[in-house]
Amino acid sequence: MLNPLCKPWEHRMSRRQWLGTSTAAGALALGGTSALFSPAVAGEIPSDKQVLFIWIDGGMSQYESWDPKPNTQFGGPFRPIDTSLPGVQICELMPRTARVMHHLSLVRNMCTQDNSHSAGVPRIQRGDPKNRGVTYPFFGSAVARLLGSGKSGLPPYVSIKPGGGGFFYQDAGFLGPKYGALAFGDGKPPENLLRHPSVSEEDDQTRNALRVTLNKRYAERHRHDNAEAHAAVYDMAAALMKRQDLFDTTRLSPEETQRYGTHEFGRHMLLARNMLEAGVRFVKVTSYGWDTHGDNFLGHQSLMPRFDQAYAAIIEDLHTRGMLDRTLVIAMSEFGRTPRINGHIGRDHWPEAWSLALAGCGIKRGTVIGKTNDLGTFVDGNTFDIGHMFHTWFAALGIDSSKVEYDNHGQPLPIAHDACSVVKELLS
Amino acid sequence: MNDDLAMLKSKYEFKETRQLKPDRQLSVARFTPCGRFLLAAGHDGQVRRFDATTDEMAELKPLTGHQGWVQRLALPTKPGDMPPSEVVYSVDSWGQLRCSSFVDETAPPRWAIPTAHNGWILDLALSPSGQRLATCGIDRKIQVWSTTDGARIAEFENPHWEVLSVCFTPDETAVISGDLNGAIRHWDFANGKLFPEWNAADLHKSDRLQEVGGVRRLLFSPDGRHLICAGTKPKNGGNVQGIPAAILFDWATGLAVKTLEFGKEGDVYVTDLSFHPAGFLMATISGNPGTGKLVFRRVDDETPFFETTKMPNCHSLSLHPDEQRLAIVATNGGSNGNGRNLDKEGKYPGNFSPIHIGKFAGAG
Repeated sequence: MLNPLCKPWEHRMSRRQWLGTSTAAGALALGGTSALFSPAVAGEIPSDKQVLFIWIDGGMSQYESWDPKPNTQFGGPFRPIDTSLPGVQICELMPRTARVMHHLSLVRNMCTQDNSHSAGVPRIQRGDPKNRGVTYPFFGSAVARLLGSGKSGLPPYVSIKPGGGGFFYQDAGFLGPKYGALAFGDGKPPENLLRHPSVSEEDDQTRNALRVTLNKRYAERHRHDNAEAHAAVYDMAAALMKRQDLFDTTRLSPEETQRYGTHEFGRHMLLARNMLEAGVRFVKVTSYGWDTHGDNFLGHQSLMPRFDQAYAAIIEDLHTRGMLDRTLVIAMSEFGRTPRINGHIGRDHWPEAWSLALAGCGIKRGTVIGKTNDLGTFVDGNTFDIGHMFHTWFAALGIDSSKVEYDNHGQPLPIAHDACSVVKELLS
Repeated sequence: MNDDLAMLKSKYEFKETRQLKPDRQLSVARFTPCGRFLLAAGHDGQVRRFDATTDEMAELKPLTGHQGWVQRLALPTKPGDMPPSEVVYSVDSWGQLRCSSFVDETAPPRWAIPTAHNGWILDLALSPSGQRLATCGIDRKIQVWSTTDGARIAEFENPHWEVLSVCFTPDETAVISGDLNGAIRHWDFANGKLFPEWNAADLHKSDRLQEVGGVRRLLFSPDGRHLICAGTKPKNGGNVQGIPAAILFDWATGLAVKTLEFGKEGDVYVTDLSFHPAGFLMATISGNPGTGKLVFRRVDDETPFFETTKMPNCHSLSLHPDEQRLAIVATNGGSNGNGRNLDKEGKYPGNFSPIHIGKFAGAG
């Protein structure tokens, strides 16, 4: 293999060499090209399970959502409401979610290590593993690696988010860029997804075949990770081109658009539902703007109903479509918010005691795990770190975290923090 | 500063004389019309009472019966007004409206409506005659009540948005509401007339998933010529930043004629606003933790004639009926911080609201 830090003149090709390559190119198929570079399928666990990962970026307040403490020092102004789960109350800002609580599992005793966004977000999404000198993958990349694309052939890990899109290879850590997240900015498809009208399908196939051949030649002489990722992105694009309908909002009924909400979170969650229906393995939906250090209460008064509307809608839809039993649904932030209310009538970051909500495959329905004390300041009893959640989520997906390991170029690595374990009471 | 403004400052500069230190966070304080009490309420559902007849201003037993937060109180302006002036009207975040004696904390409320609104009542206003109350809240309703017995006189529904503020027109035939989206609406409960909506859109912003700001305070100028709508000119949601501002509307034409700004982006909200009998505006400002102001300015001046930043996060102000003293509700310094900040005893401390009592520099 040549030095991966190759120079341009090393790729100069004679005309004869070029013509010989072009002839061979026509014989290659278009799809599954990444399989040429690595045994990508080997090691994947056959599964029809999927994941919806709802990331509430900035820190949703547990007081104003899953763990209200009314009429207490830090409880805030809102009332608690009953839910479809007898004896369980949540904040009044989530009336629709209250009606589907019997599908959910609440975890109220999360206690994690990092109170900053910049370090805390990747730490949480990577499962905060022990430091072994490698960058662990985000949960989405892990699932993409362990379970693969599945029958749909669609990108295994997509991210629907406000702002810009692109390919977030960094999520994949040591797994390699192939397992990064394909992000749809504001739920829009990648630019230039459609084939240009001046290019016929036959020409498109020919030029793709040439691309494949040249990539293979490149990969034979360099580390294959980048070439593999490069090829994988083209495979994803090809698969998406066949499913442009997923982004066609004219196909949505007014009823479902209204039910999810016409705001960005509603639109993105509806797209997420359609992606899951199409068979995408892991769909992440991100909502920004939850870091309510100031004006926390009127802020959550504005934010929570929109979360509530779309979240309850997707839980209902996954259930009625028979998808909830095979889709793991996770709703969480990087931490909660302080009991103490600051002078800007805000709450600050609080990893000490916070909540997240689970539903779907492998998860026990209608249960609450853990509790905080009467004031909501600290966990009362045992605590769970994010490592416990990773073990539990893998178990829910049928992945035994005590047996399955990553193979990082010969270095075996646990898939979740080895000092944590499955929370069995969360599993069905 | 010119001579005119310097003279005003020398007469009205705020001089703190003492601090009251209630143990919980408060949102509002009001001197009673008789001047004997200072009432204050906030995060613990109580209406606290302080003896304003002494310099010490000892805390007395509170009025109880609310739930959640009490953020607004209303009191008649002068002793002897009808209805009886020894009552306070209060609202809470669970939707209750009450009329209680502020003299006898053991007395049952004169009347109480536990579900006046479905949820947080965000503002409360008393009509100039003292005969009517107006309330508004997150349920998007504006309601008018009789102060005599709490009977509902009128009910209106605001389209789409939560209603953050309400006041009566000077002639008491209508109430004005300000909502989260910056819309000002005129609800004529006496005659049923329809009025066009006014737009204080500068006080609102849609940022990501959040609607930020809104019309937080409403009041008429003493001569009735201007409606003043106050809040912030928001820059962003989340950790809300914005310039504290008040927009003056000409009452006759509905045109916005002036915008007063009270600081910079980190100063954020005008939290309370009232006119001194001498005709200048008194405003409290609260923004980032530790950032607070008391500002005095005349509407026609370009700059305030007095401003102090010594009190972090000022939420409310009240002028004593003697027109000499002021009470400012603030928040303690060092109120913020991520993660586990325990006190010396290893306990997790809450914040509290010092009440700064002071006099004008020219007071006797």
